[in-house]
Amino acid sequence: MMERRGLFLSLSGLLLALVLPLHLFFGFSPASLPGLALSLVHFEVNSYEDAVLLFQRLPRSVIAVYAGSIAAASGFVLQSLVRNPLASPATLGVNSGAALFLVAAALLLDADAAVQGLAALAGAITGFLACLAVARFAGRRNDPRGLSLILSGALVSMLFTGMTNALLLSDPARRADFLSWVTGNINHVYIDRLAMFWWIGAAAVLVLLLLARPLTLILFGEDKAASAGVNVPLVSRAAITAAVLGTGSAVAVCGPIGFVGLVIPHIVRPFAGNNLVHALPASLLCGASACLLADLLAREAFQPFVINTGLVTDLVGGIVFIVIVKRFYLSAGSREAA
Amino acid sequence: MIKMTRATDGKRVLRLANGLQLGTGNLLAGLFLLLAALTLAAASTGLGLTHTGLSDLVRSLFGENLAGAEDFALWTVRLPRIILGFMVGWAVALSGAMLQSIAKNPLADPGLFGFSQGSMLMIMLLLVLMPAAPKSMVTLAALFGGLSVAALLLWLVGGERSSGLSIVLMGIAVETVLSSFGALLLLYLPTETSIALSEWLAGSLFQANWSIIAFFVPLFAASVVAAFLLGPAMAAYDLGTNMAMALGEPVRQSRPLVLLAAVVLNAAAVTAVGPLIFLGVLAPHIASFLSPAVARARLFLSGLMGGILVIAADALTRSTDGALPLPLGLALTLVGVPLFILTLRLQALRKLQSH
Amino acid sequence: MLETRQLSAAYGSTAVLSDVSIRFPKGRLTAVVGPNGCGKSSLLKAIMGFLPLTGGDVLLDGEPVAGISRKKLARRIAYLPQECFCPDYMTLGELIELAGYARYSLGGGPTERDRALYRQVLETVGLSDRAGFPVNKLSGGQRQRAWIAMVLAQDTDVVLMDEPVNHLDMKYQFAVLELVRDLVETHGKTVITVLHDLNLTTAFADEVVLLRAGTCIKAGPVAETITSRAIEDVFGLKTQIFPRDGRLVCFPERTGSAGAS
Repeated sequence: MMERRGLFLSLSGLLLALVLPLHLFFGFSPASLPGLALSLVHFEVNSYEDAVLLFQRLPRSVIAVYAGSIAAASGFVLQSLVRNPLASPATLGVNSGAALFLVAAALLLDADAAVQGLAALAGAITGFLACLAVARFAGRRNDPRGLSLILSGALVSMLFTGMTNALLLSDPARRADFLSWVTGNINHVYIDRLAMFWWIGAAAVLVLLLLARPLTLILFGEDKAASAGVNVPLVSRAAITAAVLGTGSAVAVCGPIGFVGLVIPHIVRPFAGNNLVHALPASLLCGASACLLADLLAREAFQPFVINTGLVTDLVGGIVFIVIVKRFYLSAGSREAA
Repeated sequence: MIKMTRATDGKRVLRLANGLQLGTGNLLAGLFLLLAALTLAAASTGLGLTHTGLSDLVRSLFGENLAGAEDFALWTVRLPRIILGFMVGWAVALSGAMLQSIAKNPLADPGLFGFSQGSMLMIMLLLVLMPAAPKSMVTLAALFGGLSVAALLLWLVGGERSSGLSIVLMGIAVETVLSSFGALLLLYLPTETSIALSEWLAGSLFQANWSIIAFFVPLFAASVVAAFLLGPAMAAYDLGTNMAMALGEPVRQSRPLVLLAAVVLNAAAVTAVGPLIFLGVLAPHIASFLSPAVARARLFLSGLMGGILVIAADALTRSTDGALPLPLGLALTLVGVPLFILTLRLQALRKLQSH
Repeated sequence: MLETRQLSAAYGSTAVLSDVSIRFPKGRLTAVVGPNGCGKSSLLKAIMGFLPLTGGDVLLDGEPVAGISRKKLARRIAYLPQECFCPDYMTLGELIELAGYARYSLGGGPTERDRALYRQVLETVGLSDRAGFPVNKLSGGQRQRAWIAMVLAQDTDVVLMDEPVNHLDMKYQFAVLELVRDLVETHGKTVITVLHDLNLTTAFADEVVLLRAGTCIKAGPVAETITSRAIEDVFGLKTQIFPRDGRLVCFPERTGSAGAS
């Protein structure tokens, strides 16, 4: 088992090492590759292609890696802590909350990018809390598997998305920009935002990695973890806050890239197991690769059009959602409980 | 032959000869909601830019002629909005209450099943492909979209043996897929079309007129009959699919029928004013807070509450005097969410006191 | 009389019952007993038609249950699931009135006879003063009795119960089973109940069905069916069985090793 986990982790790393260059260099003529690689190493611009690589491709790659890895890690932690295979930043109101607050700050308060970022963080927290509050209304007794949380998350997301849409209508001039951002747009121009907010995501990932061991203990039983000296409420809250804020920062950069957080944990878990010490790094690597691939698809598949990455991930995510529901809630034996 | 007596749980009921029991508490609550709806509607006739209101309306009903502007404001704008708003709210709330029984979960909103998304996507496609499509085509497209999603859901979750909750989960999944298509359209359509679609997505009674009302009235009447017929089954579904079958409910036949009713009601509402998210959860909850009821009474009270909420939201959009363009969906959120939180707090207090 | 003939059923591709043929005698209390996952609940569900049958028949007085409409079946068989669910807004009285659902006409409600039955049923389970309470506000023991009352109020000849005494303490286990026993003795009903406890089975049941891995190992009157050998066969546990005060007492022996199968 240990070996398999190690193998999976190195394979995830290898995958990222393959996908990243693919994302950077796809579409350039093979002959120009050596020169491009050189310019990447020296960070020099000698030709138009170099400029495309350094000022368009590279920022895109960095943003995709940032958004994908954080979404996947947050998704894994959320799924583990709320004990529901359908949990993720996108399904629990985090993404839509961040989007709504950011748009509101930008359109109603004319806030600059830094304040918009703060608003996104506040929105991420608000979205998650709203989701919890609405779920509590459904009552816990009737709901052994925390499914009300998923329903309330979907409801809150729809409500917030509707409000975002209504807000955007109030300013037709800036609507087009934000509409694209709201649909999840990995775009090189957002690298400035990343430069502003990257440390939030980095801190969130660091916190999650540091908490991996006590979190794993909590997953195996809260009482057991408490008896092993883990402060269960504190660790759970810190982990959820880190996951939510990290996601909020990613939304502040490139808009909601949904469903990487839903999908990746399901790919990682069979190989890396539930132990977060192994699963978190694997999630980070796989999330980055997945987001790079989705972005590549969004960029290249519909040439000459470049569609929004968020649309690709949402579409894939929705289909995976169907598969998860089929597998966890409609398969033999699980019918009754669902 | 009507007798005043008590139901098994001790509540006062009016008992008809065939055994039908009407809880007096529920009847009073219904009467109260009806009065509230009328009062709100009357007050709402006085809201807006043109200075007119109830007194003008009464005078015009008694045959007096109004000045052009007042006549227009009352008869062409405000009354249709109020009447259509009530019926739309009724339809969405009824749809929500039915779906909650089917799904055994108070959070089942018609929006979560993807019906609205299905209707919307079809309307969007129609508007894109045939911008000049007549209103009746739009209605058909909405119905077709909603029904296709319902059929897809039933196909995905299987027949009578699957649980109600799995239908909602599958609904959320389908909704996600469809909404990414919706977002695609919003993003890549020409700006004007996109803004028109967005406005419609945000909900608006702007298009309300007497011909839409004429289309809606038969549906409204049918929904009253449907609520009467399907009401008792809702109480059986509340106990879960297996229990409903054990009690004698033919789930295999009746569940698609209930879904059909919910889809038709919701699709009609979506066509008329756009999707009203959360109303399907809000109205049954607040109605149940006012008078806890099961079966038919629950459906009727929910429907009335839904109508009231939409009239109130519409009044709010008009009371801003056009200074702030407030879409109906946003106004509904502004009216509904505080009420939702308030009732939850009061409920928690009630619970504390009863212990 | 209720009877299963070569009954087989499956969840998807997982078979849960295979070739089960049992006759449940009229006016008797039959306990269905077996280890976890042996298909006890599935047997009741298959009888009710909640599970897809892959073979065989369920016959009620010689008539296949599959051919009886839900409404008609509900007037002849009542079913109490293991986990019951009730929304917060439903009162006990409303729940009991739902029991007669299959008897009400379209747009109608309970007759005077129904209403008298409901009052009497609530009296029987000792919850007359709780009729106006929301079901979810009742205590655990009261709630279980409320569901039993509902099954009684359905007023059928055959009653199926899936672990009616689960989650109850010893006092209520006995109280509930005394109630069930009374159904059989004074009302002449046929009761089939899933039970976990062998001693409760020998104390209250007339007949017993021993299931293991989806097949019927043995079925018949309690005194003849519950033997050391049969119990070891079904549960894999050596058990001493001796008569005392007119009924059997089962006394499982310790295996002395952890992790015995």
